[in-house]
Amino acid sequence: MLISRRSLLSKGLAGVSLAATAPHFLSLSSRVLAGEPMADDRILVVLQLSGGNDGLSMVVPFEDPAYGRARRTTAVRDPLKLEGGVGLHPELKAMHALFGDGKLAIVQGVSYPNPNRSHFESMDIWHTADVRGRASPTGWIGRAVDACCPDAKDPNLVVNIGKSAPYALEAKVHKPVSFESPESYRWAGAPGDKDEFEKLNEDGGADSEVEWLHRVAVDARASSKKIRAAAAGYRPKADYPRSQLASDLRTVAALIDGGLPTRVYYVSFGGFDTHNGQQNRYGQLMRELDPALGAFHADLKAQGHLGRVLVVSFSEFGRRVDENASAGTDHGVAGPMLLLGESVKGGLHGKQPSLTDLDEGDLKMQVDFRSVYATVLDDWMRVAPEKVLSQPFPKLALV
Amino acid sequence: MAESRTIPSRFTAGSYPGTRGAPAGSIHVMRTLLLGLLVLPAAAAPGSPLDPLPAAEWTPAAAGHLLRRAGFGGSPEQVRALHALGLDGALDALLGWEGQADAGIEGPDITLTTQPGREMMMAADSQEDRQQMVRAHRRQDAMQLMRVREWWVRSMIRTRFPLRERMVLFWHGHFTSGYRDVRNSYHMYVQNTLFRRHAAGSFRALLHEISKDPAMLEYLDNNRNRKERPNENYAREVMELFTLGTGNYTEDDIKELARGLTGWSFDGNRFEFHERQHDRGAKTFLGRRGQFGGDEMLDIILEQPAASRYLAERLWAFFAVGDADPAVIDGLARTLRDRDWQLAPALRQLFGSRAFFATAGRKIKSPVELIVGLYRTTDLDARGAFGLSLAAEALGQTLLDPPNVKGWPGGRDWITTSLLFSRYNVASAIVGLPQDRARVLDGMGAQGPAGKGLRALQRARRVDPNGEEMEGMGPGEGMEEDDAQPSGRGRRRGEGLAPVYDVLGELQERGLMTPEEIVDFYAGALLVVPPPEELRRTLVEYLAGLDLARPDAKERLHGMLRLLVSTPEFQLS
Repeated sequence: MLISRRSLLSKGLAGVSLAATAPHFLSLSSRVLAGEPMADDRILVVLQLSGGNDGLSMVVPFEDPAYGRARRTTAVRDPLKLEGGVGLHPELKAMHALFGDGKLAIVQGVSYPNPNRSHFESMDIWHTADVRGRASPTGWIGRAVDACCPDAKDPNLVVNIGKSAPYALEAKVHKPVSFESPESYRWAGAPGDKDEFEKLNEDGGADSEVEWLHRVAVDARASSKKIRAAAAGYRPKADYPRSQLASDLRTVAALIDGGLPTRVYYVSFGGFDTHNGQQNRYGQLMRELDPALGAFHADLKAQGHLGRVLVVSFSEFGRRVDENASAGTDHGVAGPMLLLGESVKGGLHGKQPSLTDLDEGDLKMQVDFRSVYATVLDDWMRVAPEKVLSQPFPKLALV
Repeated sequence: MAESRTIPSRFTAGSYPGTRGAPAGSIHVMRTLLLGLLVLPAAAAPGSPLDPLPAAEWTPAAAGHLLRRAGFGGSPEQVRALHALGLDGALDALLGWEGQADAGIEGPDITLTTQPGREMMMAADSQEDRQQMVRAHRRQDAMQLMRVREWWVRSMIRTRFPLRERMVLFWHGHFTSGYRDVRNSYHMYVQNTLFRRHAAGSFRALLHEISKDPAMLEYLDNNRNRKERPNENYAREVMELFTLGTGNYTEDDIKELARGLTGWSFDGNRFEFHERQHDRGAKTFLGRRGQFGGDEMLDIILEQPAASRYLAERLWAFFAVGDADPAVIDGLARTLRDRDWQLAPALRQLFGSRAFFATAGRKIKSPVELIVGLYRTTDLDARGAFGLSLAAEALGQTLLDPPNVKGWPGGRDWITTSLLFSRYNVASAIVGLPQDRARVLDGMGAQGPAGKGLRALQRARRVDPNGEEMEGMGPGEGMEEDDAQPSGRGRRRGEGLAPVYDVLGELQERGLMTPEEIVDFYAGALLVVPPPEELRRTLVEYLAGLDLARPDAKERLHGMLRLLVSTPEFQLS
């Protein structure tokens, strides 16, 4: 049962039963007082498209004759029209419908100055919001969550669905929880040994380090139970297709519905490095992306959680305008970011970069990605951007 | 003559192989002993934490602590054997690898030592061919990196000189370079061998050589540092992270050092000094003025008092724990300076000190320590094992690819709720039965047929360091049974982590039969401090009614081992 901050404050603390949480999560009343994230606080879902998403195949400038010239074999046919001479890849049907409802924002031409076309280096820059990349000891989300909830004790504030947490989640205080599936977030010992395992992982410890480890163990058991119960007991209100991405997003929906205090969920979807055979490959990618995102959106909406969720999607760079000799494209620069949610100011933002006025064959940056971050931080997460970004960036009207 | 007198005199005599200083001749020892009678030893003031551990405190438990920190731990026999040598003898044994043959550890299968050459590229028919060539090379290179990583972990398990491998690990985290930027598995391998060559030798020599190492030159961009366009990255990090620490140099010093290092580059696999790119003008650096080149400037760095203190701090943090008593750091720093930056005397002093032994049980193991330690303590044969470096990666430590130039901060940074589970699961799989490993594997992916399918999907989707899809690549989580050997040649139905630990055989050999005996033995072998009563009782009760002759005994014993390594206590060294 979700206990919203609003209902808590209106009923008065005495009128609400203390939620059964693990010993080291504060009791409900003290959570309110301590500023712990509450069940109805806003959630950010970051969807990372890894490999360098070809923005021109996603948001297609089909009316521009330069497009057909540049993409002789890889031009996307029959795009779903948006406005202003651009359309969506034909497989992005759900996204197209959302755009029509004004619930999909597309920021065009996003990049950063002195762009880096190396997967690792560019991704580091997006992860740290710092042109020095990993010279920064923390990621932008790590800094954001440390800023929003400095005193929170919950170990599940940041959840990454995947084997290891991306650098964006590096934090001084709130380290991310990372698992490939809720079922894997547990002790994998024999079920019959569960009682003994629990006895060995209770509170205790003769000295400070052991005691600290025992506390983490207790937190781990409790959060594992919570997360697995939320996932196992979840009845989605939309049909998720069978794919890794859909499964990951369904997990996120389950945890949101399960009332977890998580503020940021991070999901990655790879395979975008389409140096060859792009036409088919990109189609496959969109066929996986759209139904998964569409189901996620529909599910959150039907469950009544959409109002609390903002999905932000990005890639480490776009791709070159001209196709290469292998019916593919090489690493480029600017590309689109997508934002979905109830409070999103839908439509096209930024400007479609010119296909002829290029920077060494690449689309010129129209929007610095840190402007999008600043907008998400300030207008959605209610975190002062200066706590996360090293300098001010003008916001966009996205949320 | 009091026993304790001989220990300090041997320190100052430096009577161990491979170092400068007086030879360990008997006359010299006699003279020092006689002097010791007349004059207080030049060692630290009485009651200093850096004083050697008194002989009475050199217990088997102390030997275990030393073996865990200066090595990766060992079986009870190995601990007892080390103890029997006495503290001095133990330090000799740990440090005495010079000129000694190691266990037969085959080197990694190195097939790629060059990048696609210009001629090769020119001979390509088209841009497309060139790109295919580059991508194929990258795939091969990534596989070779995996072979090097696996070889290194196996070396750590099998070596007779674990302190040498510990030092290689220390240097790797200190003079960091990472594959994500270097993109050359051969260079990463060569750097690794450099660390091994200079493991406990001269820090001065190591500093000079690492500054000319191709992997390092690439990682911190010094190969792009030219007179016309200086690149300060290496100059900055070498002072901030490798030698002096922040606050002990200025921004101008960085600029000047960068000037001194201009033209330091590499071609192929060798350091090359590009004379024309070098700025030979006068420089002002750390208070000195002259027409310094890079080598002189590195030596000037080592003249700074901050340098020896900084290295002492780093060594202490890695081998002992946390912040040290300033007296300890000062003492170690002085030894480094007095012995012209030879590591071995300082290591000897560190590992022999009361302060070091006082840190027993207070350090959270790094993933590599946890995994390698478990193999060495149970004496598991690692020859057939693969996926160990991937297991370490799953726990947050990717060898040859640290998260950033600061390396791995260690300590509590190794622990989150999910990482704690992963540590439990990896350790359980190592001491577990094949079905345990399958369960861990299932647990680390999804379960059942969906799991298989998802794993296949994951395998298909796995990307190499370039973000490109890899086919026919080696182990996934490192625990999948039908993955290729690290050598990349052909496929083999492997055993994944290693042969199963023969717990029944172990107990038979030792004549252990009752739950109390068995639990006490394993808790003693695997935990650093006597087990809390609760832990001991839980495990003894778990084994209640154990009958070694019955078929279910094996399962129950492995169950107990899995539980034992799935505890907060097991995380500590």
